[in-house]
Amino acid sequence: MNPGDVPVIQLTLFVACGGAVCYKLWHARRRPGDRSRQALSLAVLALTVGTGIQVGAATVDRVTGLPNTGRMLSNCAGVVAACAALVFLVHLRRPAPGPASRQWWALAVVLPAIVVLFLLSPADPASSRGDPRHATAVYSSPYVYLFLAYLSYVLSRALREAHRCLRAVTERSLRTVFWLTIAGCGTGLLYAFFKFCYLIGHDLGVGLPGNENSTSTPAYLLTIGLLAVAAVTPACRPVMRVLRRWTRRYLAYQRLFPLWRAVYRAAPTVALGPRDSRLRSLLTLCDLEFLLYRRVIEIRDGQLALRNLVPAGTAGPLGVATPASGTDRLVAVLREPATEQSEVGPESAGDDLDAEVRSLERMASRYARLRRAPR
Amino acid sequence: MRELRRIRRRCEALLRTLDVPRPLDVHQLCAQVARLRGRPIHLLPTAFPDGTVCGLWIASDSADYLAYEQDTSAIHQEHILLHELGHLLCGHDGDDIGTGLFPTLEPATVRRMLARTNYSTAQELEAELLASLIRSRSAAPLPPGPEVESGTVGERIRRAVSHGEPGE
Repeated sequence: MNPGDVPVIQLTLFVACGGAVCYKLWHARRRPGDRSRQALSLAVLALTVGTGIQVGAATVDRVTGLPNTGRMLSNCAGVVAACAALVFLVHLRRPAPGPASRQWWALAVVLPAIVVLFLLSPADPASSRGDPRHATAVYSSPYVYLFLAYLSYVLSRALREAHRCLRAVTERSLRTVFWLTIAGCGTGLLYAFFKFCYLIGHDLGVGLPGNENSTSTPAYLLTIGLLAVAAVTPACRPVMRVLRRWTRRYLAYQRLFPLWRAVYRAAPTVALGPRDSRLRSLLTLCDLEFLLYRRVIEIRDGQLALRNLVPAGTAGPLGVATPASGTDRLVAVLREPATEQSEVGPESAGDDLDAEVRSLERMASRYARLRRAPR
Repeated sequence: MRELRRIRRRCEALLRTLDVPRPLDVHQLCAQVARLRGRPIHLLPTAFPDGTVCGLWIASDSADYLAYEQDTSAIHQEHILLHELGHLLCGHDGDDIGTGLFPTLEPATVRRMLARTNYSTAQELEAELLASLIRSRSAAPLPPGPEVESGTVGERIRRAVSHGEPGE
């Protein structure tokens, strides 16, 4: 990995996590007392803060005048995120407060210990993010051991809990969420392992191949990326559903345009707010639910309005006796489905605009074929 | 077009005061409006003569009659009924167009009558817009409702992770 890419990836993750935080907090309002959602919101928030501090670690160090303060604060946010994620997973299977509160107590002990150990450690300016030597320097402090040990414990517990949750769900999207969580925990453990190896190697004076940043940094970024994706995946589902629905409505609105225009030209009184320009129809992006419904109703109104225009000789199947004039062709197409649909009473008229649209789309394609047929 | 927008705003305001069932059940809505007006609403599926009307609201001394074209699609029938209900909800006045389409009705008992033909009058425009808004709003996806505690682990996980979205 190119070291220059790291801040960009971190910034991207920061923005993605920030978006996830807004979404999670917005949804958490719906069940204010839900501890699992509070924990998840906190996890994503802490992940965002941690990533944000990493991006601005050099500035934090400069402002505080204490090298590696940014790193320590980011690590603290990391353990809060990991603990909150574990609490969330524990809550999913066991909603009782007992098992989760033990995790909070452990965090309440570890967090101050990390800060105290950091303050007691001698300053190491070479490993500060603001120093050009930091890319190859290994920062060693007792707090880092504690941080890695606690992180490994929490991630291995979270991995186990995520696996149990995975076994309890069958929905594909939820299984994806838990697979991503497991993968995120796995890469997190890998990060802790690499970091630990380089730390031991540094403290014992044993040279290890490669350098810490080229192994642990990708694992760290991958961990945050996977966990952030796991957090936002459920949010993508409703968005995708809305997009799919909108696309269906838009395409149907365009497909019905030629038939609707022919009806409108033959019976102008059916239209409420006519949009008879093709370009205007194509540029219609909003209020599609209403406009498509109007298009459907106006075609059906036209069908009734033109009913008395049916010439006696054109009642046969389409293609057998192709009507000559444009209006006759339209009337011939409009005539058939009117009788097809007449068996359905209002009792069965539910929320079935889609079926009606499909029926009219078929009619529109028949009309298009008939319009192209030689006279 | 400006007039259309003005009427639409008025219809939207009226729609906000209505408790429209979702998914839409036009019979239920009719019953609701009948309760509000304190008089029954009778639905009359009718085969109207070609080139006349496709829906009709007839108000008698004791009841409202909504006649709708039966020889059309279900959704269109539903829309015609909604249009006629729209007249009732908007408090429109009827015209004297005669009772020729329903010879069994006593002319003396018919107090008001409105027919769905075109949208040349403000009343027709308003009823048509209200009907379209009722139908298109009720077809829009429902926002996630209030959540309840669930029993199984899988269900609890699904609800917590997917924010109460319906399952696949």
